[in-house]
Amino acid sequence: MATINGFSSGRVLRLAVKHYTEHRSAYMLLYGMMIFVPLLFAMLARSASVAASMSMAVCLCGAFVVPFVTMKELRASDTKIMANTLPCSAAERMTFVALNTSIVYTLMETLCAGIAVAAAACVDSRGELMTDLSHLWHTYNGHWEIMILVWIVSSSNVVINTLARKRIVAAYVCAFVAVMLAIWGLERMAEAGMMIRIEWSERLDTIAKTIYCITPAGLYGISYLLLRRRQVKW
Amino acid sequence: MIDIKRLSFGYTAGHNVLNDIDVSLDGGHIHGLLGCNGIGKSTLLKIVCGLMRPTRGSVTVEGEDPARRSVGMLRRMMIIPEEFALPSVSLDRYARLTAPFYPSFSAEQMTYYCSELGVDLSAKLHNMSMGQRKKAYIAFAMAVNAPILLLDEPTNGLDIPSKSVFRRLLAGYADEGRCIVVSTHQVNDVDSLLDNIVILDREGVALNATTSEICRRISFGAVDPARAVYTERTVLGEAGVAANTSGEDSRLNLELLFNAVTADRRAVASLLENR
Repeated sequence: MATINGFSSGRVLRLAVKHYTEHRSAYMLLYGMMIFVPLLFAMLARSASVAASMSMAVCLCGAFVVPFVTMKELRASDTKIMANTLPCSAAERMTFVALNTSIVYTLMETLCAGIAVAAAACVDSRGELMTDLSHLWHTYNGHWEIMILVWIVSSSNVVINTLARKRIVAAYVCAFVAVMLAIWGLERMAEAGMMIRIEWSERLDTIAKTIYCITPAGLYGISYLLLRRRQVKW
Repeated sequence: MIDIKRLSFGYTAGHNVLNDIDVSLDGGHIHGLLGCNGIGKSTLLKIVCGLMRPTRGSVTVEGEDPARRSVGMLRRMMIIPEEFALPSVSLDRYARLTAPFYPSFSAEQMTYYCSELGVDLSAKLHNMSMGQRKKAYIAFAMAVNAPILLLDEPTNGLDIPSKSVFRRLLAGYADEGRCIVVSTHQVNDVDSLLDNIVILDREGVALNATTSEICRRISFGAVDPARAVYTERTVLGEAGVAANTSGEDSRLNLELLFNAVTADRRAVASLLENR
Protein backbone atom coordinates (compact mmCIF):
# COMPACT_ATOMS: atom_id res chain seq x y z
CA MET A 1 0.00 0.00 0.00
CA ALA A 2 1.35 3.39 -1.00
CA THR A 3 1.87 6.37 1.27
CA ILE A 4 2.32 9.72 -0.47
CA ASN A 5 2.77 12.92 1.57
CA GLY A 6 1.23 11.23 4.60
CA PHE A 7 -1.77 9.98 2.61
CA SER A 8 -1.98 6.22 3.02
CA SER A 9 -4.07 4.11 0.65
CA GLY A 10 -3.72 1.30 3.22
CA ARG A 11 -5.62 3.35 5.78
CA VAL A 12 -8.36 4.06 3.20
CA LEU A 13 -8.66 0.31 2.65
CA ARG A 14 -8.73 -0.33 6.42
CA LEU A 15 -11.47 2.31 6.78
CA ALA A 16 -13.44 0.52 4.07
CA VAL A 17 -13.04 -2.90 5.70
CA LYS A 18 -14.01 -1.50 9.12
CA HIS A 19 -16.99 0.39 7.71
CA TYR A 20 -18.43 -2.45 5.63
CA THR A 21 -17.99 -4.97 8.44
CA GLU A 22 -19.62 -2.72 11.02
CA HIS A 23 -22.48 -1.67 8.74
CA ARG A 24 -23.00 -4.82 6.72
CA SER A 25 -26.62 -5.24 7.84
CA ALA A 26 -27.51 -1.72 6.61
CA TYR A 27 -25.89 -2.37 3.23
CA MET A 28 -27.47 -5.82 2.91
CA LEU A 29 -30.87 -4.27 3.59
CA LEU A 30 -30.29 -1.46 1.09
CA TYR A 31 -28.95 -3.63 -1.72
CA GLY A 32 -31.57 -6.28 -0.99
CA MET A 33 -34.26 -3.63 -1.41
CA MET A 34 -32.64 -2.49 -4.65
CA ILE A 35 -33.26 -5.96 -6.03
CA PHE A 36 -36.60 -6.85 -4.49
CA VAL A 37 -38.53 -3.56 -4.71
CA PRO A 38 -38.19 -3.29 -8.53
CA LEU A 39 -38.88 -7.01 -8.80
CA LEU A 40 -42.04 -6.69 -6.71
CA PHE A 41 -43.38 -3.88 -8.91
CA ALA A 42 -42.42 -5.85 -12.04
CA MET A 43 -44.35 -8.85 -10.74
CA LEU A 44 -47.41 -6.71 -10.02
CA ALA A 45 -47.30 -5.06 -13.45
CA ARG A 46 -46.02 -8.21 -15.23
CA SER A 47 -43.58 -5.97 -17.09
CA ALA A 48 -39.80 -5.86 -17.04
CA SER A 49 -39.74 -2.20 -18.04
CA VAL A 50 -41.34 -1.43 -14.66
CA ALA A 51 -38.41 -3.20 -12.98
CA ALA A 52 -35.94 -1.10 -14.96
CA SER A 53 -37.65 2.21 -14.17
CA MET A 54 -38.21 1.26 -10.51
CA SER A 55 -34.57 0.26 -10.11
CA MET A 56 -33.65 3.75 -11.27
CA ALA A 57 -36.00 5.32 -8.72
CA VAL A 58 -34.67 3.08 -5.92
CA CYS A 59 -31.14 3.90 -7.02
CA LEU A 60 -31.82 7.63 -6.55
CA CYS A 61 -33.26 6.93 -3.07
CA GLY A 62 -30.13 4.88 -2.29
CA ALA A 63 -28.03 7.89 -3.26
CA PHE A 64 -29.53 9.56 -0.16
CA VAL A 65 -29.13 6.53 2.11
CA VAL A 66 -25.51 5.57 1.32
CA PRO A 67 -23.98 8.98 2.19
CA PHE A 68 -26.05 8.99 5.40
CA VAL A 69 -24.82 5.53 6.43
CA THR A 70 -21.24 6.36 5.40
CA MET A 71 -21.10 9.53 7.49
CA LYS A 72 -23.39 8.58 10.37
CA GLU A 73 -20.64 7.50 12.77
CA LEU A 74 -18.85 10.83 12.32
CA ARG A 75 -22.00 12.77 13.22
CA ALA A 76 -23.89 10.66 15.78
CA SER A 77 -23.38 11.84 19.36
CA ASP A 78 -22.56 8.37 20.71
CA THR A 79 -19.98 7.45 18.06
CA LYS A 80 -18.45 10.72 16.88
CA ILE A 81 -15.69 10.94 19.50
CA MET A 82 -14.33 7.49 18.65
CA ALA A 83 -14.83 7.91 14.89
CA ASN A 84 -13.20 11.32 14.74
CA THR A 85 -10.21 10.33 16.87
CA LEU A 86 -9.44 7.28 14.73
CA PRO A 87 -5.92 7.82 13.36
CA CYS A 88 -6.65 8.72 9.76
CA SER A 89 -6.53 12.06 7.99
CA ALA A 90 -9.53 13.97 6.63
CA ALA A 91 -8.22 13.31 3.10
CA GLU A 92 -8.17 9.55 3.71
CA ARG A 93 -11.62 9.69 5.26
CA MET A 94 -13.04 11.71 2.37
CA THR A 95 -11.39 9.43 -0.20
CA PHE A 96 -13.22 6.50 1.34
CA VAL A 97 -16.51 8.46 1.53
CA ALA A 98 -16.18 9.56 -2.12
CA LEU A 99 -15.32 6.07 -3.37
CA ASN A 100 -18.10 4.45 -1.36
CA THR A 101 -20.79 6.91 -2.41
CA SER A 102 -19.78 7.09 -6.07
CA ILE A 103 -17.93 4.19 -7.69
CA VAL A 104 -18.76 1.41 -5.20
CA TYR A 105 -22.38 2.52 -4.95
CA THR A 106 -22.83 2.79 -8.73
CA LEU A 107 -21.27 -0.64 -9.28
CA MET A 108 -23.48 -2.21 -6.62
CA GLU A 109 -26.55 -0.39 -7.93
CA THR A 110 -25.78 -1.59 -11.47
CA LEU A 111 -25.40 -5.14 -10.21
CA CYS A 112 -28.65 -4.99 -8.22
CA ALA A 113 -30.58 -3.39 -11.10
CA GLY A 114 -29.16 -5.98 -13.46
CA ILE A 115 -30.33 -8.82 -11.22
CA ALA A 116 -33.75 -7.20 -10.81
CA VAL A 117 -34.26 -6.62 -14.54
CA ALA A 118 -32.98 -10.08 -15.48
CA ALA A 119 -35.23 -11.71 -12.89
CA ALA A 120 -38.14 -9.62 -14.14
CA ALA A 121 -37.74 -11.32 -17.52
CA CYS A 122 -39.39 -14.38 -15.97
CA VAL A 123 -42.56 -12.47 -15.21
CA ASP A 124 -42.85 -10.32 -18.32
CA SER A 125 -46.16 -11.12 -20.05
CA ARG A 126 -45.16 -9.95 -23.55
CA GLY A 127 -42.69 -12.75 -24.10
CA GLU A 128 -40.43 -10.56 -26.24
CA LEU A 129 -38.53 -9.20 -23.36
CA MET A 130 -35.06 -10.43 -24.18
CA THR A 131 -34.94 -8.30 -27.33
CA ASP A 132 -36.02 -5.24 -25.35
CA LEU A 133 -33.81 -5.90 -22.38
CA SER A 134 -30.76 -4.13 -23.74
CA HIS A 135 -32.89 -1.12 -24.73
CA LEU A 136 -34.47 -0.99 -21.28
CA TRP A 137 -31.10 -1.28 -19.65
CA HIS A 138 -29.62 1.61 -21.60
CA THR A 139 -32.66 3.78 -21.08
CA TYR A 140 -32.59 3.54 -17.31
CA ASN A 141 -29.32 2.23 -15.95
CA GLY A 142 -26.50 1.93 -18.42
CA HIS A 143 -26.35 5.52 -19.66
CA TRP A 144 -23.32 7.53 -18.54
CA GLU A 145 -25.42 10.67 -17.89
CA ILE A 146 -27.57 8.75 -15.42
CA MET A 147 -24.47 7.50 -13.63
CA ILE A 148 -23.23 11.08 -13.30
CA LEU A 149 -26.67 12.14 -12.06
CA VAL A 150 -26.45 9.50 -9.31
CA TRP A 151 -22.98 10.80 -8.41
CA ILE A 152 -24.29 14.38 -8.26
CA VAL A 153 -27.11 13.30 -5.92
CA SER A 154 -24.65 11.28 -3.78
CA SER A 155 -22.05 14.03 -3.58
CA SER A 156 -24.74 16.65 -2.77
CA ASN A 157 -25.87 14.40 0.07
CA VAL A 158 -22.29 14.07 1.30
CA VAL A 159 -22.13 17.89 1.43
CA ILE A 160 -25.39 18.02 3.42
CA ASN A 161 -24.24 15.23 5.77
CA THR A 162 -20.96 17.06 6.36
CA LEU A 163 -22.68 20.38 6.96
CA ALA A 164 -25.33 18.97 9.30
CA ARG A 165 -24.32 18.82 12.93
CA LYS A 166 -27.09 17.18 14.92
CA ARG A 167 -30.31 17.64 12.97
CA ILE A 168 -29.89 15.99 9.59
CA VAL A 169 -33.59 16.44 8.71
CA ALA A 170 -33.31 20.19 9.33
CA ALA A 171 -30.29 20.27 7.02
CA TYR A 172 -32.27 18.53 4.27
CA VAL A 173 -35.20 20.92 4.76
CA CYS A 174 -32.80 23.89 4.51
CA ALA A 175 -31.22 22.42 1.36
CA PHE A 176 -34.65 21.82 -0.19
CA VAL A 177 -35.84 25.34 0.62
CA ALA A 178 -32.58 26.77 -0.79
CA VAL A 179 -33.02 24.86 -4.07
CA MET A 180 -36.69 25.89 -4.34
CA LEU A 181 -35.78 29.53 -3.68
CA ALA A 182 -33.02 29.36 -6.30
CA ILE A 183 -35.47 27.97 -8.91
CA TRP A 184 -38.08 30.55 -7.98
CA GLY A 185 -35.47 33.32 -8.22
CA LEU A 186 -34.32 32.13 -11.65
CA GLU A 187 -37.92 32.01 -12.88
CA ARG A 188 -38.56 35.55 -11.65
CA MET A 189 -35.34 36.70 -13.34
CA ALA A 190 -36.41 35.04 -16.58
CA GLU A 191 -39.85 36.66 -16.39
CA ALA A 192 -38.25 40.06 -15.79
CA GLY A 193 -36.05 39.55 -18.85
CA MET A 194 -32.87 39.54 -16.80
CA MET A 195 -31.64 36.25 -18.25
CA ILE A 196 -29.45 36.26 -21.33
CA ARG A 197 -30.76 33.99 -24.04
CA ILE A 198 -27.98 31.78 -25.34
CA GLU A 199 -28.30 29.87 -28.59
CA TRP A 200 -27.56 26.23 -27.99
CA SER A 201 -24.52 25.10 -29.93
CA GLU A 202 -22.31 22.05 -30.05
CA ARG A 203 -19.57 23.93 -28.17
CA LEU A 204 -22.01 24.95 -25.46
CA ASP A 205 -23.20 21.36 -25.24
CA THR A 206 -19.61 20.22 -24.66
CA ILE A 207 -19.13 22.87 -21.96
CA ALA A 208 -22.42 21.87 -20.28
CA LYS A 209 -21.47 18.19 -20.33
CA THR A 210 -18.02 18.98 -18.91
CA ILE A 211 -19.55 21.01 -16.08
CA TYR A 212 -22.04 18.19 -15.49
CA CYS A 213 -19.19 15.67 -15.19
CA ILE A 214 -16.97 17.73 -12.90
CA THR A 215 -19.83 18.73 -10.58
CA PRO A 216 -19.53 15.57 -8.38
CA ALA A 217 -15.76 16.08 -8.10
CA GLY A 218 -16.37 19.70 -7.09
CA LEU A 219 -18.96 18.69 -4.50
CA TYR A 220 -16.62 16.05 -3.02
CA GLY A 221 -13.91 18.72 -2.89
CA ILE A 222 -16.26 21.03 -0.97
CA SER A 223 -17.11 18.13 1.37
CA TYR A 224 -13.42 17.55 2.03
CA LEU A 225 -12.86 21.20 2.97
CA LEU A 226 -15.96 21.11 5.19
CA LEU A 227 -14.87 17.84 6.80
CA ARG A 228 -11.48 19.29 7.72
CA ARG A 229 -13.26 22.04 9.65
CA ARG A 230 -16.12 19.87 10.92
CA GLN A 231 -13.91 17.21 12.51
CA VAL A 232 -12.73 19.89 14.93
CA LYS A 233 -16.25 21.10 15.64
CA TRP A 234 -18.73 18.24 15.25
CA MET B 1 3.11 16.29 27.43
CA ILE B 2 -0.10 18.32 27.42
CA ASP B 3 0.35 22.08 27.73
CA ILE B 4 -2.73 24.22 28.11
CA LYS B 5 -2.13 27.97 28.12
CA ARG B 6 -4.77 30.60 28.95
CA LEU B 7 -7.42 28.46 27.29
CA SER B 8 -10.99 29.68 27.06
CA PHE B 9 -13.84 27.97 25.26
CA GLY B 10 -17.52 28.66 24.77
CA TYR B 11 -20.15 26.80 22.76
CA THR B 12 -21.94 30.10 22.16
CA ALA B 13 -20.39 33.54 21.75
CA GLY B 14 -20.07 35.48 24.97
CA HIS B 15 -20.73 32.47 27.21
CA ASN B 16 -17.55 30.63 28.05
CA VAL B 17 -17.59 27.17 29.60
CA LEU B 18 -13.85 27.16 30.20
CA ASN B 19 -12.06 30.29 31.34
CA ASP B 20 -8.34 30.96 31.42
CA ILE B 21 -7.25 27.37 31.92
CA ASP B 22 -3.52 27.24 32.50
CA VAL B 23 -2.21 23.78 33.27
CA SER B 24 0.57 21.44 32.23
CA LEU B 25 -0.03 17.69 32.39
CA ASP B 26 3.24 15.78 32.36
CA GLY B 27 3.96 12.19 31.49
CA GLY B 28 4.47 9.61 34.22
CA HIS B 29 1.45 10.77 36.19
CA ILE B 30 -2.21 9.94 36.57
CA HIS B 31 -3.96 13.30 36.59
CA GLY B 32 -7.39 13.65 38.13
CA LEU B 33 -9.56 16.25 36.44
CA LEU B 34 -12.33 17.28 38.79
CA GLY B 35 -15.07 19.87 38.68
CA CYS B 36 -18.78 20.44 39.17
CA ASN B 37 -21.32 19.42 36.53
CA GLY B 38 -21.14 21.55 33.40
CA ILE B 39 -17.78 23.07 34.31
CA GLY B 40 -16.24 21.78 31.06
CA LYS B 41 -14.19 18.70 31.99
CA SER B 42 -15.39 16.65 29.02
CA THR B 43 -15.10 19.69 26.77
CA LEU B 44 -11.48 20.12 27.87
CA LEU B 45 -10.76 16.47 27.02
CA LYS B 46 -12.35 16.97 23.58
CA ILE B 47 -10.17 20.04 22.99
CA VAL B 48 -7.07 18.06 24.03
CA CYS B 49 -7.83 15.29 21.54
CA GLY B 50 -8.49 17.72 18.70
CA LEU B 51 -12.26 17.50 18.50
CA MET B 52 -12.72 21.17 19.30
CA ARG B 53 -10.70 24.32 18.92
CA PRO B 54 -10.28 26.72 21.87
CA THR B 55 -11.88 30.14 21.53
CA ARG B 56 -8.78 31.69 23.08
CA GLY B 57 -5.43 30.41 24.26
CA SER B 58 -3.65 27.29 23.10
CA VAL B 59 -3.25 23.56 23.67
CA THR B 60 -0.24 21.57 22.61
CA VAL B 61 0.11 17.82 22.87
CA GLU B 62 3.78 16.80 22.72
CA GLY B 63 4.43 20.18 21.10
CA GLU B 64 1.75 19.73 18.45
CA ASP B 65 -1.57 21.50 18.00
CA PRO B 66 -4.22 18.77 18.40
CA ALA B 67 -6.66 20.66 16.15
CA ARG B 68 -4.32 19.83 13.24
CA ARG B 69 -5.31 16.21 13.87
CA SER B 70 -2.17 14.64 12.46
CA VAL B 71 -2.29 10.86 12.18
CA GLY B 72 0.87 10.59 14.31
CA MET B 73 -0.75 12.53 17.15
CA LEU B 74 -4.04 10.63 16.94
CA ARG B 75 -2.12 7.34 17.16
CA ARG B 76 -0.47 8.47 20.38
CA MET B 77 -3.75 9.35 22.03
CA MET B 78 -6.74 7.35 23.15
CA ILE B 79 -9.95 8.67 24.65
CA ILE B 80 -12.61 6.70 26.48
CA PRO B 81 -15.79 8.81 26.32
CA GLU B 82 -18.37 8.75 29.08
CA GLU B 83 -21.09 7.41 26.81
CA PHE B 84 -20.57 5.66 23.52
CA ALA B 85 -22.07 3.11 21.16
CA LEU B 86 -20.14 0.24 19.65
CA PRO B 87 -20.97 -1.56 16.40
CA SER B 88 -22.85 -4.85 16.22
CA VAL B 89 -19.76 -7.04 15.90
CA SER B 90 -17.87 -9.15 18.44
CA LEU B 91 -15.19 -7.49 20.57
CA ASP B 92 -12.57 -9.66 18.92
CA ARG B 93 -13.70 -8.56 15.45
CA TYR B 94 -13.87 -4.91 16.58
CA ALA B 95 -10.30 -5.12 17.84
CA ARG B 96 -9.12 -6.73 14.59
CA LEU B 97 -10.84 -3.98 12.56
CA THR B 98 -9.61 -1.05 14.64
CA ALA B 99 -6.17 -2.22 15.79
CA PRO B 100 -4.46 -1.76 12.38
CA PHE B 101 -4.85 2.01 12.89
CA TYR B 102 -2.72 1.75 16.06
CA PRO B 103 0.73 0.24 15.45
CA SER B 104 1.39 -0.16 19.19
CA PHE B 105 -1.71 -2.32 19.77
CA SER B 106 -1.00 -5.63 21.49
CA ALA B 107 -3.42 -8.53 21.04
CA GLU B 108 -1.87 -10.37 24.02
CA GLN B 109 -2.53 -7.40 26.27
CA MET B 110 -6.08 -7.17 24.96
CA THR B 111 -6.65 -10.81 25.93
CA TYR B 112 -5.08 -10.16 29.34
CA TYR B 113 -7.18 -7.04 30.05
CA CYS B 114 -10.35 -8.81 28.91
CA SER B 115 -9.70 -11.79 31.16
CA GLU B 116 -8.96 -9.51 34.12
CA LEU B 117 -12.11 -7.44 33.54
CA GLY B 118 -14.24 -10.52 32.85
CA VAL B 119 -15.13 -9.59 29.28
CA ASP B 120 -15.79 -12.28 26.68
CA LEU B 121 -13.84 -11.51 23.51
CA SER B 122 -16.32 -13.37 21.35
CA ALA B 123 -19.40 -11.59 22.75
CA LYS B 124 -21.30 -9.24 20.47
CA LEU B 125 -20.76 -5.65 21.56
CA HIS B 126 -24.33 -4.49 20.95
CA ASN B 127 -25.67 -7.27 23.19
CA MET B 128 -23.52 -6.14 26.12
CA SER B 129 -24.78 -4.08 29.04
CA MET B 130 -23.43 -0.56 29.46
CA GLY B 131 -20.90 -1.72 32.07
CA GLN B 132 -19.72 -4.64 29.95
CA ARG B 133 -19.37 -2.37 26.94
CA LYS B 134 -17.34 0.08 28.99
CA LYS B 135 -15.04 -2.68 30.23
CA ALA B 136 -14.65 -3.96 26.67
CA TYR B 137 -13.64 -0.54 25.42
CA ILE B 138 -11.34 0.05 28.41
CA ALA B 139 -9.58 -3.23 27.57
CA PHE B 140 -9.21 -2.20 23.93
CA ALA B 141 -8.06 1.35 24.78
CA MET B 142 -5.39 0.09 27.18
CA ALA B 143 -4.19 -2.56 24.72
CA VAL B 144 -3.56 0.24 22.20
CA ASN B 145 -0.67 1.35 24.46
CA ALA B 146 -1.11 5.01 23.64
CA PRO B 147 1.19 7.34 25.61
CA ILE B 148 -1.77 9.65 26.30
CA LEU B 149 -4.90 8.09 27.73
CA LEU B 150 -7.91 10.29 28.40
CA LEU B 151 -10.73 8.78 30.44
CA ASP B 152 -14.07 10.50 30.91
CA GLU B 153 -15.98 9.06 33.86
CA PRO B 154 -14.35 5.64 33.41
CA THR B 155 -15.98 4.02 36.43
CA ASN B 156 -19.56 4.98 35.51
CA GLY B 157 -21.50 1.78 34.99
CA LEU B 158 -18.80 -0.53 36.37
CA ASP B 159 -19.74 -2.92 39.15
CA ILE B 160 -17.81 -2.90 42.46
CA PRO B 161 -15.36 -5.76 41.65
CA SER B 162 -14.69 -4.27 38.22
CA LYS B 163 -13.82 -0.92 39.76
CA SER B 164 -11.04 -2.43 41.83
CA VAL B 165 -9.75 -4.43 38.83
CA PHE B 166 -9.85 -1.25 36.76
CA ARG B 167 -7.81 0.60 39.42
CA ARG B 168 -5.23 -2.18 39.44
CA LEU B 169 -4.98 -2.29 35.65
CA LEU B 170 -4.71 1.48 35.34
CA ALA B 171 -2.00 1.58 38.00
CA GLY B 172 -0.11 -1.06 36.02
CA TYR B 173 -0.64 0.86 32.79
CA ALA B 174 0.90 4.04 34.17
CA ASP B 175 4.61 4.35 33.56
CA GLU B 176 7.09 7.20 33.13
CA GLY B 177 6.25 7.88 29.53
CA ARG B 178 2.48 7.86 29.85
CA CYS B 179 0.14 10.68 30.67
CA ILE B 180 -3.21 9.52 31.98
CA VAL B 181 -6.02 12.00 32.57
CA VAL B 182 -9.08 10.81 34.48
CA SER B 183 -12.08 13.11 34.50
CA THR B 184 -14.55 11.97 37.11
CA HIS B 185 -17.17 12.74 39.73
CA GLN B 186 -16.66 9.34 41.37
CA VAL B 187 -13.66 10.54 43.35
CA ASN B 188 -13.72 7.62 45.76
CA ASP B 189 -13.24 5.20 42.86
CA VAL B 190 -9.94 6.67 41.77
CA ASP B 191 -8.52 8.71 44.69
CA SER B 192 -5.86 6.09 45.46
CA LEU B 193 -4.64 6.18 41.86
CA LEU B 194 -4.24 9.87 41.24
CA ASP B 195 -0.93 11.58 41.78
CA ASN B 196 -1.91 14.99 40.52
CA ILE B 197 -5.19 16.78 41.12
CA VAL B 198 -6.62 19.47 38.86
CA ILE B 199 -9.87 21.06 39.99
CA LEU B 200 -11.69 23.33 37.57
CA ASP B 201 -14.19 26.06 38.41
CA ARG B 202 -15.80 28.95 36.54
CA GLU B 203 -12.71 31.12 36.98
CA GLY B 204 -10.29 28.52 35.64
CA VAL B 205 -8.00 26.12 37.46
CA ALA B 206 -8.99 26.26 41.10
CA LEU B 207 -6.31 23.79 42.22
CA ASN B 208 -3.40 22.06 40.55
CA ALA B 209 -1.19 20.13 42.92
CA THR B 210 0.33 16.72 43.35
CA THR B 211 -1.32 14.44 45.90
CA SER B 212 1.96 14.18 47.85
CA GLU B 213 2.08 17.97 48.17
CA ILE B 214 -1.58 18.08 49.20
CA CYS B 215 -1.07 15.37 51.84
CA ARG B 216 2.03 17.12 53.15
CA ARG B 217 0.37 20.53 53.48
CA ILE B 218 -3.27 19.75 54.21
CA SER B 219 -4.94 17.53 56.76
CA PHE B 220 -8.44 16.17 56.39
CA GLY B 221 -11.07 14.88 58.76
CA ALA B 222 -11.48 15.78 62.41
CA VAL B 223 -9.64 19.09 62.53
CA ASP B 224 -9.71 21.98 64.96
CA PRO B 225 -12.59 24.21 63.73
CA ALA B 226 -10.57 27.31 64.67
CA ARG B 227 -7.79 26.30 62.23
CA ALA B 228 -10.01 24.84 59.53
CA VAL B 229 -10.47 26.65 56.25
CA TYR B 230 -13.52 24.51 55.53
CA THR B 231 -15.78 22.27 57.59
CA GLU B 232 -18.85 20.21 56.80
CA ARG B 233 -21.19 17.98 58.70
CA THR B 234 -20.88 14.31 57.80
CA VAL B 235 -22.52 11.17 59.15
CA LEU B 236 -19.43 10.63 61.28
CA GLY B 237 -19.54 14.15 62.71
CA GLU B 238 -17.78 17.38 61.77
CA ALA B 239 -15.02 17.04 59.18
CA GLY B 240 -12.81 19.72 57.77
CA VAL B 241 -9.74 20.84 55.90
CA ALA B 242 -6.87 22.56 57.67
CA ALA B 243 -3.13 23.08 57.43
CA ASN B 244 -1.15 19.94 58.15
CA THR B 245 1.09 20.72 61.10
CA SER B 246 1.66 17.14 62.23
CA GLY B 247 4.79 16.69 60.16
CA GLU B 248 3.38 13.49 58.71
CA ASP B 249 1.51 13.06 55.45
CA SER B 250 -2.25 13.07 55.91
CA ARG B 251 -4.64 10.66 54.24
CA LEU B 252 -6.16 12.34 51.17
CA ASN B 253 -9.90 12.88 51.27
CA LEU B 254 -10.63 13.97 47.73
CA GLU B 255 -14.30 14.63 48.36
CA LEU B 256 -13.53 16.95 51.25
CA LEU B 257 -10.76 18.66 49.30
CA PHE B 258 -13.08 19.18 46.33
CA ASN B 259 -15.82 20.65 48.53
CA ALA B 260 -13.29 22.93 50.25
CA VAL B 261 -11.91 24.18 46.91
CA THR B 262 -15.43 24.72 45.56
CA ALA B 263 -16.36 26.69 48.70
CA ASP B 264 -13.18 28.81 48.90
CA ARG B 265 -10.40 28.12 46.41
CA ARG B 266 -8.17 30.88 47.79
CA ALA B 267 -8.21 29.52 51.33
CA VAL B 268 -7.12 26.07 50.11
CA ALA B 269 -4.51 27.63 47.83
CA SER B 270 -3.12 29.55 50.80
CA LEU B 271 -2.63 26.25 52.68
CA LEU B 272 -0.56 24.93 49.76
CA GLU B 273 1.44 28.13 49.50
CA ASN B 274 2.42 28.11 53.20
CA ARG B 275 5.80 26.45 53.06
